[in-house]
Amino acid sequence: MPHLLTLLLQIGVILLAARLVGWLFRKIGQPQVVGEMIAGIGLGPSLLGWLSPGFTAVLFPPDSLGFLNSLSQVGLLLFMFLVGLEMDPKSLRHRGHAAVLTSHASIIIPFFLGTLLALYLYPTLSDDSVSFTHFALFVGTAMSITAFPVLARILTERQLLRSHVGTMTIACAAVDDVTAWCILAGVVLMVQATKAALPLWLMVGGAALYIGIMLYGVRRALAKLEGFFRMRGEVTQDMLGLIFLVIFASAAVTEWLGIHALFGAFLVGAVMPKESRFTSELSEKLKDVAVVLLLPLYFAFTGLRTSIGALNGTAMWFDCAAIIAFAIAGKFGGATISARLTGLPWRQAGAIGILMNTRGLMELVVLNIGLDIGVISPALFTMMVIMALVTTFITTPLLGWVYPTQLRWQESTPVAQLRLGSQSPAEG
Amino acid sequence: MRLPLLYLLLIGMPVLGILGLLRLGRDLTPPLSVRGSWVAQLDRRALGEMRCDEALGCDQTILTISQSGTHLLITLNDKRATTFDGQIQEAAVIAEARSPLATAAIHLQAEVDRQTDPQRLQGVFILQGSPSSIQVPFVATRL
Repeated sequence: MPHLLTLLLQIGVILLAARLVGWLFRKIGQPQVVGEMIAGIGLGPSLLGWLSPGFTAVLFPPDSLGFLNSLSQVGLLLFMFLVGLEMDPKSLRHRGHAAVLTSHASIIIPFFLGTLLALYLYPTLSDDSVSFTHFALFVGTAMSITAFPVLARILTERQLLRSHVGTMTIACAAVDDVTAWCILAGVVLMVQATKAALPLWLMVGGAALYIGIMLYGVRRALAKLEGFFRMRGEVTQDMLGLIFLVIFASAAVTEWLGIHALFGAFLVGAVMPKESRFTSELSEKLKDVAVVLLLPLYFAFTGLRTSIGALNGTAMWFDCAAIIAFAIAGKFGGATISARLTGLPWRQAGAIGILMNTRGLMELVVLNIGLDIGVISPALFTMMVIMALVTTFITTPLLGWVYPTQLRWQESTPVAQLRLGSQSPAEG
Repeated sequence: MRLPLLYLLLIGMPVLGILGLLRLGRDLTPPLSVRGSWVAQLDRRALGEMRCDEALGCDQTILTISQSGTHLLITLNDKRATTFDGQIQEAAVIAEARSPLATAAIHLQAEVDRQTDPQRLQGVFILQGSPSSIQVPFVATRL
């Protein structure tokens, strides 16, 4: 079974690289996920493929990538389920106008800047098989992403979770995540409608119907799981098996509808019962396999599609720098200014802006979708992957500079605990 | 009063801006799309006594084109997966093989027939070697 041997070898190398580089990055105060992302990029043509193309050809032969991709997509589905599971709509209520305004502004302003940048990027990095509208909407969406899980992890590690900055940021990021995924689903639907066998009205109607079924039908059915959990005192294997079935069935439906399988998995997590012990135990059962074993495969698969060497010439690197600058200006600027205008002091507003600028794994997910549906080109994909890495990397050091520990203790106020941070599915 | 004003400033105006930009961008002209896989039928007579070429094959070869705007990366389906760095200018494709091959350096020049059939790419592979260069015409159709 040559494919199995190749896959096992790939998993071994990827795991080793991810743990090693993740450990190194933890040593310098960065989240583990940043190291794992860089390890994944390094295994691709950007580093390993450049240093040793022969070894790369043996380790990642083209006919083996389908298996690696499939396995990594399963990991991503589980991860997206966990992201949805951690999202508690009750914690988003009563956040106050400041949080709502800041979260909306931190989506719209980077979206606007992304659309503006698209005017420049479209004639040079796209082609006439993609309409400007689709291209600009996608770039705008990609610019407006915040990595909710890694953000929660950073807040936990820096003991900011219970602070005013922490609760405000988490609330904003949660709203950001849900909104950005909805916008992305819409963009994917629009792009796919031009190529799909189903007409757009059917795809939109189907998606709306499906979401309705999930919110009003499946949610009620899944609520029974909470009763079974209380009765048994644990998440049994039968319950877990049922949950897996629902996740994969939902993913299959959204994939068929043309939205993408990820939304289906996310939606299942979002409609799951939110009793804290139940979600904790479920999360614990799935987290390690998804985060430790399967997600690094996704990072490696992303890395195999990322070719930094393809950015040849000053013009391309200028484009990359422009993307990074616009991304930071949009997210950091949008969140900081709106937080400031709602009355927060500059340092707190700046801290929120820095944290909201974290893009992490969520950005990679969006970019891979964009490349899959053909709305962004390989070079633009690489540039935006670099942007995701840079914006995530700078979060921790900038936060330490703008909002140091002594200031936090001066401003900390007792707040109700939100379920996040230590329970977050990943540093994604 | 302040909150509606903030919403107008921070949300309303950017939304209007986005709509304006989307309208503005409709007039932009991106490069012609040549990405994807193309089956190139070679003119065997040009190969003469060679009959076949190490990179190009005998009768046909598959070109896989990865496009980022005007930048092209073209890969042949030979054993070495010979790649070309190229550019597209209007309907013209110009590319050069990345690394010199044992037998010859290869250039590619082609043009898309925009008017009658944009799914057709017609051009020539130029094999530069000793003692002289060989031009191998081809017609490629998109898979």
